[in-house]
Amino acid sequence: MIKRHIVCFYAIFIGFVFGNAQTRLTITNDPLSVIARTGIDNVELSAAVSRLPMPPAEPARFWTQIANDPKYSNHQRRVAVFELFRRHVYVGMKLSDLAMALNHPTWLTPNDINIIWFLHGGKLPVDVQNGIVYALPVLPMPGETDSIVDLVISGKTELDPQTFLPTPGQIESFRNLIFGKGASPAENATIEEIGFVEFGEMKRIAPKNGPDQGKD
Amino acid sequence: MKKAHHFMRSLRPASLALFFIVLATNEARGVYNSEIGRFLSRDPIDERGGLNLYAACGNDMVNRVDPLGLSYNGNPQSVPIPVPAPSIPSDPSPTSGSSTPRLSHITVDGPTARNCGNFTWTIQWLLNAPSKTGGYIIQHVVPTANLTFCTGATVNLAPIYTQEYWEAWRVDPGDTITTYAVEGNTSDDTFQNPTFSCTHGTFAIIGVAYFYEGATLPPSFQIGTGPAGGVPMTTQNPHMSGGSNQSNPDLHTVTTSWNCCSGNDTTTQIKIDSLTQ
Repeated sequence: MIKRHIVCFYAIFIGFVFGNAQTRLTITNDPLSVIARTGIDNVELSAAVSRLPMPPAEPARFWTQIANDPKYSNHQRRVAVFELFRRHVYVGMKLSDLAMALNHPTWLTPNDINIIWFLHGGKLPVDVQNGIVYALPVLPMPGETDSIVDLVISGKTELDPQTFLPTPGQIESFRNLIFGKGASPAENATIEEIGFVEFGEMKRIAPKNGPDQGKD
Repeated sequence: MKKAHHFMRSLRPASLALFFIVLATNEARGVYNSEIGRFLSRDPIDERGGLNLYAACGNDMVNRVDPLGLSYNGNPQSVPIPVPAPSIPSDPSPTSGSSTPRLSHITVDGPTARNCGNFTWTIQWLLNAPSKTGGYIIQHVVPTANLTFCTGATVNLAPIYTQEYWEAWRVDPGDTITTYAVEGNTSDDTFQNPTFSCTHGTFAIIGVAYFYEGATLPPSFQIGTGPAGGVPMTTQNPHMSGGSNQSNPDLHTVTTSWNCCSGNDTTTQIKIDSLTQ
């Protein structure tokens, strides 16, 4: 009788420990859990990102929390920015929706946002002729910028008739919208193309057909 | 009533004429704000009149009349377009032997002419033999501009348009094309200008390119958001060493000319010269 109780107890105990271990194993192997760890190795981070399913099951906010949080390394924050754009930003998306997805980006400095409207040699991952090209440097370090998000937005670059520079109002309107500073005439403009300079490598991101599955 | 009568009598005929011209113009296409030098409504001919839909071509509403606001209709100037003779910039002499790959380019797209100086031309870099150790293609870009408004005033272009710079493309060991082309995008180098509305003039861009076998990129090269797009560039002479082609760099010039004043064909004329094609 006692022996039977002891066997039962051990069976329950082993089941509990094993079950717990399995749960822990599942959690630690979950790519999102790996990505959300601070101080993670770059190789491990890349491996976890490569295991993420498409369409995304995670909300855009998962990435903005990492991208906006200085307790993560710059590399990890940059990866989060690119994955946010890769998985949650799509061709046809309204700028007002983009602003919501970006969630007040601290990785972006308003004055760093520029319009690219001509090329005298060189190369862009997007086409200047297809709309207004906004270049968003991703956490640039002093004397070093190797990561940029290029967005082509519907419309045409408005140039000052005297200097032929983009009008300050057009850039200001985009900045205000991205940083959620009130209504902007650009809020109904849509994304036409997305391109990256991702850690020095230039990439044109394939357009998606519609909003992702993730929910905020 | 007496005051109004006195006011009308005090006006000079010239002032009255100007008053009615302005009135007619405003009725036709909206109100012109003299402080900002623009109409407060869009130009009815929309984008066909240029990108700035709020500008009056010439921006001179006293001497030129545009009663319906549809086109600049004053004294079209038949101005000959001077084409500047490109002067080849002196870059450091390459030091490698004749076994280093020779650099050339092929046209990938264009040249495509649009209106008022707007054009696009895209090329790809090619080595005639695989790079042994890998290296960098460095192109020295020298733009020169000569623009005049239809009013006759000189255009003071923003300095970014005529900024001289050096830009770099990596070639890996064993390859004859850049890393971008290996990944599938063969459009290595694009020359593209915007629409210079209400102007006539010329714009020349000279590119002098060498392949530097075994070179590493000086830290002054940075990826920015300027006229080289996402390609590393610097505005300081990098004083590269090594390189191919001995005394013959891949040198090409693209010269554009246009006349966007009334009565002229506004299409950009493009002339491409190359020493290697």
